Amino acid sequence: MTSRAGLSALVVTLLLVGLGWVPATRAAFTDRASVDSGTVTSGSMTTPATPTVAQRSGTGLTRVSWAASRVGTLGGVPTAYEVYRYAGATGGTPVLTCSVTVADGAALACDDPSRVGGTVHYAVRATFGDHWRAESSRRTFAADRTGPVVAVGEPPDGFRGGANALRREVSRGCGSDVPACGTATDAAGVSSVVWALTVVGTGPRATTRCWNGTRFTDQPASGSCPQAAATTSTTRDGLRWTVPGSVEDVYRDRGEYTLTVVATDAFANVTTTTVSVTAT
Amino acid sequence: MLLLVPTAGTTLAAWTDRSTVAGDGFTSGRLDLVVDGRTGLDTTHARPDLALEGMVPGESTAATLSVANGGDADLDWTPTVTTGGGLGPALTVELWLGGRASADDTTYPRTETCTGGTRLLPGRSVRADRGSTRDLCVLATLPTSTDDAYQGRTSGSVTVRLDATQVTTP
Repeated sequence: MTSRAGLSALVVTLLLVGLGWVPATRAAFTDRASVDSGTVTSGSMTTPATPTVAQRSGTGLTRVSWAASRVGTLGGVPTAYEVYRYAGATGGTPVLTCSVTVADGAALACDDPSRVGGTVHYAVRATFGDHWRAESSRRTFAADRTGPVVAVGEPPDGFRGGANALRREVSRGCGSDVPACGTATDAAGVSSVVWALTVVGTGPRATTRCWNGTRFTDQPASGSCPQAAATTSTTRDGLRWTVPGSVEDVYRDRGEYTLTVVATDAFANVTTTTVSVTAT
Repeated sequence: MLLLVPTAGTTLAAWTDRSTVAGDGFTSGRLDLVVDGRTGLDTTHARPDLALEGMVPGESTAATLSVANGGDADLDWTPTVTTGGGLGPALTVELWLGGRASADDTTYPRTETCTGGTRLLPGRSVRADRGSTRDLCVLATLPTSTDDAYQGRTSGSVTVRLDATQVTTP
């Protein structure tokens, strides 16, 4: 009976396999091989040194400069540097002020174009690839954003009186050959002083006229009177400036005289001062 | 009345014979995927030329493996690449069938490459006839998109495993 049962099972199995109802065994040999690299490590970026910060003469922009940093140990260098400005010495939100893409001969410096005032803190961040970063410590800096102190000696602001009295007053302060004078001082140095002097006559048809150093001319239809460079001389505290011309020629007629003086310091900070006098 | 009574039974005996034919015996063949000339059981072997110290984004290393069928039957082999260690997740690995690695590059930026061949995509198997040999170039790269967190990692590895299966159908 046992052998008959076994034979029956074999026949049934063969039928099932033949009909596809039971998958046939597809035994196969296998093998495996593995290869290992050994240790792979990554390099790193050196943290840039704290940048140097200075204010540029002429533009007054804050220039941030730094030394090159390295990537890895085989002479790699960052692909770019970014300069960030912070409100505080630590923490805070960085504000990107300028950046430099590294190329042959590229200077490792850039200017913060914001002309921001007060005390701020600059850091330089080296970048490499899409995401590698290394940021320096912060350098504290306060840019000079204050313009020169301008004093108008003559004519005295707010004067109101006869033309003769005005001429005497101005002559007493500046000298007879100088219709306006004063001083401009600044710790960084005064780089220029310009002026514009106008007079508006009396009467319903009065027009604005511009002093050009020699005589009055009609104000251009396009706008205000042009500014001209003042004559300057160095004093112990800064500059003495004068407007060319004579007191007699300038303050000859009745009217309202307005003098505008614009002084600029070495960092492009500007101070504008206006005085008005009236000759009756 | 005649009564016949059998006094002896019928004989059912038959003659038999047996003959045995014996062969010289059977042996089994073997499947042997030979990498870099190393035959036999799977024992991971090191290719230090695939290692690289101090990788920075954009650098790469490459090595050429020799993959041969040293067994008695055709086979299919399927590669599996794993990267490990702290740097492992950042590494990208490509396999180039028939490709060859460029010369060892020791100057920054180290950019070894695989030249020639076809890119072997993950999961794809390769038929290897008995006695055949193919080059397999392994290219490991630290991509430029590598995250900042992977600076200064002191451990990392690349392992290439080849699983071979006998071809049972023509």
